[in-house]
Amino acid sequence: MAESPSQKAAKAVAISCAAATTFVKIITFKPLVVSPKDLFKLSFSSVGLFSDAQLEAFRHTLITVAPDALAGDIEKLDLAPGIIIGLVVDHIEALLDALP
Amino acid sequence: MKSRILPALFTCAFALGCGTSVLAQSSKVAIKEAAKADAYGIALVRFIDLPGSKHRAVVDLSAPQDKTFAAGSPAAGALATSDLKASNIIIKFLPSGKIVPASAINNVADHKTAPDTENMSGFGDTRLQIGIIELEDNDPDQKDSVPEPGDDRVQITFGVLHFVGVSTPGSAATMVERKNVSGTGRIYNKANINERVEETRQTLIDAVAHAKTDDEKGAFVAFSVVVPAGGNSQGSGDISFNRDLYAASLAQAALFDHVKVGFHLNKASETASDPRHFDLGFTFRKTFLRANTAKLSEIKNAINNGAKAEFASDQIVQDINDLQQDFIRAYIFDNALRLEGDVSTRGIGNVSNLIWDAQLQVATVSRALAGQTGFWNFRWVPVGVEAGGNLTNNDNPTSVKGSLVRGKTGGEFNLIFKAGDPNEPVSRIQISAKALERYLFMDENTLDPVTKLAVIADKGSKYWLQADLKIGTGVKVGAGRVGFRASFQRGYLPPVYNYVKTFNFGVVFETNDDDNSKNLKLK
Repeated sequence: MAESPSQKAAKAVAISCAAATTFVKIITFKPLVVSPKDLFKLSFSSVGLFSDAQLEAFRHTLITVAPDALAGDIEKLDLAPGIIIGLVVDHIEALLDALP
Repeated sequence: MKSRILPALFTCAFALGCGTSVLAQSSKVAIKEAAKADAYGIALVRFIDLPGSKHRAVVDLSAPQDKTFAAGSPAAGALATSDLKASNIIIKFLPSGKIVPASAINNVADHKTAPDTENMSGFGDTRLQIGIIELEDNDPDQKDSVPEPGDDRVQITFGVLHFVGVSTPGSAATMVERKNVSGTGRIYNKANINERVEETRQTLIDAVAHAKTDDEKGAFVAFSVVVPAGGNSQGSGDISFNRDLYAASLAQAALFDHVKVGFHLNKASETASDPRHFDLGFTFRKTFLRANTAKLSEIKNAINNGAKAEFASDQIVQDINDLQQDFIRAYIFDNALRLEGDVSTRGIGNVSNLIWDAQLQVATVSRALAGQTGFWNFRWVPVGVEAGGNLTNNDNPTSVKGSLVRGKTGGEFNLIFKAGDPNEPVSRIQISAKALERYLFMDENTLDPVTKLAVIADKGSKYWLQADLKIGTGVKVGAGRVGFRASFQRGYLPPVYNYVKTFNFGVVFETNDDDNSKNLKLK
């Protein structure tokens, strides 16, 4: 079984959101099914992450569940409550693709 | 004189707003580009020519796919009628015109190297992944399954694609069928994958610059009326601005992991409703995640190495559910160096203090309301210390510029209800309440209510209470929606501790610029 960087990035970001807000649910892990079904098209504030403290909790969960090699890049991620979660998925996916 | 301060500060805020609006404009260009795509078509395509599980194409649709036709393998449903069956997909490399053989398109579940072909969850049924099998060198189709050295673009065509049509009130959404749906995009390989990293990083930076916090947004688009206790109606402003200056890599993060710069202004034009508060400074932040490390490690392993069985998958879901049961998610330790100023007719520095502000914040997990109609959360500052000294007091130049020490504790509660349809008459209700208790251990300059000058020395309890109610409506005006905002403020803020008791209400115009989802379609 092989999962692509797209799938791994989606899982890591969805789980990091779920760890910070019960508004996000992981229905199944394999295949990944999340609620809300358009999670990655919503902003962080739309799912309950609207303070910088909560975004830091999200960031640190993401650092923990992503490969160690990505930790520095995730630490430097620009985050704000109003941005769309999918933009973070896309960036994590690109970072995973760029790993040797 | 009184009237000069607010316009000057709002001019400053407007200048910052212009900065964000420039970025908003570039985002709008991207939105226009995306809008060129058919309402039922392909918005974005990319092909990743990297080995193993990275070998794939990603297709973003401009409307949700009908999931009845989304099986990527026999195990996922009826492959014969699926839009994702290999025979329905043509992947052509450009400019060579070479076409990927159908045998290289993965329609097998759990293939040993190739990723699944599927409609990915979480994107509202609009993102498709097409797994490409790395064919053996002795396979006659192998040569055609990889781009020529000069190929830099890919064209992906679906013989037929089924979309979910727009639903109308009282009737279910219909299925929309489109034939020969095609899209073109870049090929990324080992040589240029870092360009993709930079593109996505820059898109995030632009989105953050464009995204406005509620406080910032209020400064630009809210029209408020303040009613001080027993006074006449006046204007007011409450502006916050915070940006990351520096993020350490983990190896450097022994003392702090982020440095932020920010300011906060809370000002009104009538003395009885004017907190006269301004602060500007740097914050050094260190975050400590509070979570079961064994469970997180299990989750990390499952994401990166794959959960091999249904049991393992269920176990991971259980681990995540267990994580959500904890109320506290992180402890955040902030050390800030701030300049506090009295915003008055004599400028920001009429009375000013330099403060070292250390506080512990507790970040909690947001809790969903029943039926996912909203959520509530709580942020707590159990303890904080502010220490420093008075720099200026032009109201009383002969006063001793002494030291100051304060203790503080406080919290913030937020409750948000969202209607399923943003066009509902009441689409969103947000209630937030903040309380902060400062205790002044040493005498500080406070305002004389009679002379309006900071000539009294005082210490002891100085509280601040604030409650806000925001109601969003589905009423559209131009490019935005109209809402209402009411807030109540009572108490004292440094540096002059003017007693405030006001009720503030106004109309809020929320622009559609807040939606930066179109940035997802940036190439």
